[in-house]
Amino acid sequence: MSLPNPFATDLTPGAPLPQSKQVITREMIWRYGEMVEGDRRNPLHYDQGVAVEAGYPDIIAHGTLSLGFVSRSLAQALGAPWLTGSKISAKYIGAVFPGDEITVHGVLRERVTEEPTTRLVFEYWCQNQHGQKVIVGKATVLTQAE
Amino acid sequence: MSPTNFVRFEEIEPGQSFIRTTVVLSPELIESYKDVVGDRNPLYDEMSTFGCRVAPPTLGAIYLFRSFYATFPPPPGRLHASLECDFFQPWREGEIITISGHVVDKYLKRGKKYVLFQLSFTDEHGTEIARARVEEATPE
Repeated sequence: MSLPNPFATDLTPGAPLPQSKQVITREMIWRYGEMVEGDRRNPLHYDQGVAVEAGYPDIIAHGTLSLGFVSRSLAQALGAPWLTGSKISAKYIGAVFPGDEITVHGVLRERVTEEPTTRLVFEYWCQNQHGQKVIVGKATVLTQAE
Repeated sequence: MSPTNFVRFEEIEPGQSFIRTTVVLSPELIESYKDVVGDRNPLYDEMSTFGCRVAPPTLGAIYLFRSFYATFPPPPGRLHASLECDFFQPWREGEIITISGHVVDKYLKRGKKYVLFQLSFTDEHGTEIARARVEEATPE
């Protein structure tokens, strides 16, 4: 299933995705943990003592929480095509902690037209306030000419 | 969580299936997810595009671990390493989603133990709406 998207129509490789920022809070990690883990909570995500003992400065945010911010950026930029006929990969290369400000960046790397659809491949990454990448991945979206 | 109540890396075998679970995409669940990730895009509320309210596709990610852990309770410290998700259909409010999955592989990489598993999300008509492959690193 592919849908038209006005933003995607004129995009050429090298075009950036609009950046978006998100400050990670302890409450956010807690609430997300309840949804993700139920009664099987991983102490690294809620117990600061366990996290410090494991060598981290604080509790760690779930990787898939940040993936939600990436999805938010893609939905904003691409609209309905992001919700259907799309694909995302993610590699978690750094931990995210409470207080971190995560910025989602993205660039269109590939545009392949296979009538009647166009496949757009974005490279994205999330980085913290120190400029360190914490997630890298690709997102692929199918769009249709209007 | 009791530290002894978990399935060890050595006990997990490729091909093993998860306990099949179902979830209802309730308005409360969708709102709660949108609230946590701060995704207030009106796209999800539009009646025109999909004919109903929908959820951000990454909402499915909250079930990746619940499903896996229901069958393979994790030892403390297991962490998510990577994933790949395909979204075939929108996540429509009110749908009952069945989640099934199996272990694809387990291996050692740079001295760490990894488990790779795959999940499939199908709606009540049997249509697959999403699929995910997830890699987890275990500290054991």
